[in-house]
Amino acid sequence: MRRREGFTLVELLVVIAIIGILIGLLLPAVQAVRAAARRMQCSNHLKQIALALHNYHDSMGRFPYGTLDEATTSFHRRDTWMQQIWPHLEQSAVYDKYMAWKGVWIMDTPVEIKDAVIPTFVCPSDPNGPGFGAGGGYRSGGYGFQGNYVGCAGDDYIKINRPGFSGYALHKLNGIFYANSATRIGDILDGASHTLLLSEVMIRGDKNDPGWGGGGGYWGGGQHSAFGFTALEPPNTTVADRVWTCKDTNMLESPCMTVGDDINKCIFARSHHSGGASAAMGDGSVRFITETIDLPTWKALATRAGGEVTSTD
Amino acid sequence: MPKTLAACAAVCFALLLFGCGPGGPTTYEVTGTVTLDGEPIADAQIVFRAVDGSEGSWAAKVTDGEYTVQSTPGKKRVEITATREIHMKVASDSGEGELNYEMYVPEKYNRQSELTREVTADGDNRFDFALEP
Repeated sequence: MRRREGFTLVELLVVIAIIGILIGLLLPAVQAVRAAARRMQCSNHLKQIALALHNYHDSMGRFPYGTLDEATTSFHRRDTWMQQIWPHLEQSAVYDKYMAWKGVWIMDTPVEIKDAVIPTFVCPSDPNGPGFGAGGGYRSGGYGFQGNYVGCAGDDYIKINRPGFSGYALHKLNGIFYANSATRIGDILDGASHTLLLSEVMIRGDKNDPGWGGGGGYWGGGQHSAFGFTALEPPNTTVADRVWTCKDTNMLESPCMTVGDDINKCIFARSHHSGGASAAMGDGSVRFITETIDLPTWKALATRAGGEVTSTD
Repeated sequence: MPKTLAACAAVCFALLLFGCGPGGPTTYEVTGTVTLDGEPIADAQIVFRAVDGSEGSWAAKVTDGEYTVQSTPGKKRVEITATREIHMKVASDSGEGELNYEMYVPEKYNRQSELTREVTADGDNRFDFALEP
């Protein structure tokens, strides 16, 4: 019998097919691991922000305001909790610069401050991050940094009327954050571990899309509820966010509706993780909330003093 | 013997297929039209909210008067919201005054909605809404 040398064509094809199948099996697994790693980093950011809020609480005796109501201040109108916890996220340099600037509207903050990307506020799962905009478009040379993390404003529409419009008042919402809020841990009667502190939002559209008030629009969206989210609907709902002006109304996972009024605004918790969104509780713990969560439970978690008996399990 | 083996393989394959279906509640397709004063609404949002507040709402866009929503069964309060651009001068000096929007579907069809419909598992779930301004 003649000795064979090398492979036959069939053998080669079989080997290639087997390698192909193995790669086909492996690739989705690698992608899944990478997505899981991004999700872990995303919830780690949430944890860091929650700890920074607690450090702020330690030094000030209260959590920062959701947003600084524009009628109650002559400078830094619409400032949000995001800027206020910078010193606790090792961002003292940019914080000092910001506090030294005494402009009236934060939309007009010098570009090197307002366009500074604070990495802790960017969720790596969001392909649109780090975002810019949602604060009235291009002003003072920049669009303003837009992040993924927002505070809990309660379980109803995020009502913030603006001065000069009918119905103006400082509305006290039932979450931890609202306009000029100064919530102390002691005010969270439902128990800090049973009350939502923070959650995530998706960034919609490009910085060039004119938009005002989408979730995470810290540089001017404050008075349009951009600092917070509501638990009126569960995470990743099909109900559209209702904002002053949307950056993009065609994003399927994160629908948006421009309402241009002050009483119908809502921003819902949304994330690019499959099945739900991460949330930080008032005690600093971070949980993953599934989008199929029982609605009364989700709403009960959002209120700080609703008196409900809840369990997140 | 090879037959049992083949059967085993088939069962295992079937298990693999059914192993990871999409989670979540069973939803049904709800379709219909929305008109305001006889005219189809070009761009709106329709929401099916559980009357008893026990679960999240289901929503979709209304485009040229037509909508398709995936919704769980049950008694739903239907809310239809639409906005349009208007021009108005505002007192605020923040720069927002140039462009503004108004909600032009009356509140009795959204915030104070009186529309209720029952989504069923076996019905045709076709609901048409003729709204009056």
